[in-house]
Amino acid sequence: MRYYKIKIEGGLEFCSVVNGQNDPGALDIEFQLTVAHFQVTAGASNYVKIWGVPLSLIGNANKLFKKSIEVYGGMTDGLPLATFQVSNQGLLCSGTIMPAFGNWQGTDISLDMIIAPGGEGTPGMGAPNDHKNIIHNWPANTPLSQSVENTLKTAFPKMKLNINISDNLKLSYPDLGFYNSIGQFSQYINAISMSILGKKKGYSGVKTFVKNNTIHVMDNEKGPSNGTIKIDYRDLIGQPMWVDQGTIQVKVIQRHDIDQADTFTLPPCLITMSAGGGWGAQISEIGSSNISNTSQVFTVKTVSHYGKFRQNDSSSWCTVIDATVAGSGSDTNSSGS
Amino acid sequence: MPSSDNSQVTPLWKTIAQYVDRRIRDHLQLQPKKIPVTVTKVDKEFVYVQPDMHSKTYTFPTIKVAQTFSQHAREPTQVGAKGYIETADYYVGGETAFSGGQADLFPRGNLTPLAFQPISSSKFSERNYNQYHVQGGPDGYHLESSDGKAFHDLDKDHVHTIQSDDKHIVTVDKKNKKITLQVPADGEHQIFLGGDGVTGTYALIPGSINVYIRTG
Repeated sequence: MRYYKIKIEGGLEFCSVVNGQNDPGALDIEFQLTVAHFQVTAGASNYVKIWGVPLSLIGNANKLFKKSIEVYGGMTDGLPLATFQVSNQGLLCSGTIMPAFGNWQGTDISLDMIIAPGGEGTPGMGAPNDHKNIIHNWPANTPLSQSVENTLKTAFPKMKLNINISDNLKLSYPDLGFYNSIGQFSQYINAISMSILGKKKGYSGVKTFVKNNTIHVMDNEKGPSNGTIKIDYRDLIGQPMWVDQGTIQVKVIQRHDIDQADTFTLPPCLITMSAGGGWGAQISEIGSSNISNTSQVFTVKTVSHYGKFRQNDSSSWCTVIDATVAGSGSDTNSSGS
Repeated sequence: MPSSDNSQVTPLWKTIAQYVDRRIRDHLQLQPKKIPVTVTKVDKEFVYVQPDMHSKTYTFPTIKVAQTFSQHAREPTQVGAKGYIETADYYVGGETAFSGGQADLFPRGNLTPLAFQPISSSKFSERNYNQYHVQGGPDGYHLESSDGKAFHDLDKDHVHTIQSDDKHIVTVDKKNKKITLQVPADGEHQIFLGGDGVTGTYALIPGSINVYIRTG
């Protein structure tokens, strides 16, 4: 069975499971939630829509403005393929409601909430017109991780930090700057990391994203702290496909456990790989081999969760992952390259 | 599967415009910043500057930067000097020799590829505003040839020294009421005693002589 839980600051909660049992009368919801590092998108526009809420709630929808929200999703116990996915249910996205508005058209009543997931536009994370004190003071010959930690600790003292980047990111001179939002700062450290290690084949640059009140700063030099995720054939919806040079798109049953800069492997499937990976290889090698290299590691670029609770096709409860072939270095859009 | 009513409440034309506006302002902020500063410390050819920005948000650091002059016309920048930061789009550490290396096309921190540019102030002392150039530091003025052998020096005690080489030196010392002329004692050097500059009276100089100014 599909599973969701939406928690809004102030005690408001919507959940498809009541007392451990699936609630057949659970409200229908739909959502689109993208978790992307700031080099890809500065403040993805995420939304959740809940159908059938009381009139009193939509009348006061404006009171939800700037409230924090958590959206959980995935699958819960049911048929075997659903039960297999239970371990992948969890927090899909957290952020701030910016804004909420109610709709009542005909017999349809709904509550829409736009979610700022912690990036630009999120209160407290800085914006061009809402400056944060982001001063980056990077002494010569010291790791970037130290200066980034000092900067983020000062600017965002209430947030947790998860910094996992190469120790080789050092400069022979002090580098200083001031930035007014987490998005700007992440663009800078991505560019400066590429200037140092960008010549190394496959280096992705430092990426920053926010999830669950934690600022994650990562690159693919050290690899993710949770190891490489093995995607099972029972997770896949359809077949992976190449969507860009060195970039693959994989649709799986909705899951929370894959994030930015995570790595994963695929089961045998219809795509083909060349030594460097890429869609050119796919075209030229059709028919030559229909089995992917199951040891090939992919690095997550963006994760999007899509949900329409009561729509009965698999694409209505899924997670779409764009990932790069580890070693292709295709996920670089820093200026200067 | 965006819902149609969402697209009507927050239409793409509005969100895209907001997004583009934000990205442009992000890009502008990432560019090196020309900000007003005060010199807090002088370290040979470099200075430490403190931004003079009034901000309730930022705690600006003190920055060590190069200065906007060449080795042939070096200014006696002093602590307290006011100016602003001149910027380069890319790394300049190779040119300043502060840290070496060579620039690439990646941007740096927006307070990094900088140089101090002094600016004039109404608080400067009065001068003849029709003169082409007024310069000189607390220790005076020094003009020298590139090999350093010939120079013109005006020190803080108002002593002028003109040296053509180490054997041809003239000093004018008002404080001690003395003009000194030092030339080789070869019997060939002469001193001009008067005339129209073409014809006149010259005297042979035996060596170093002192010319005393008569006062009163």
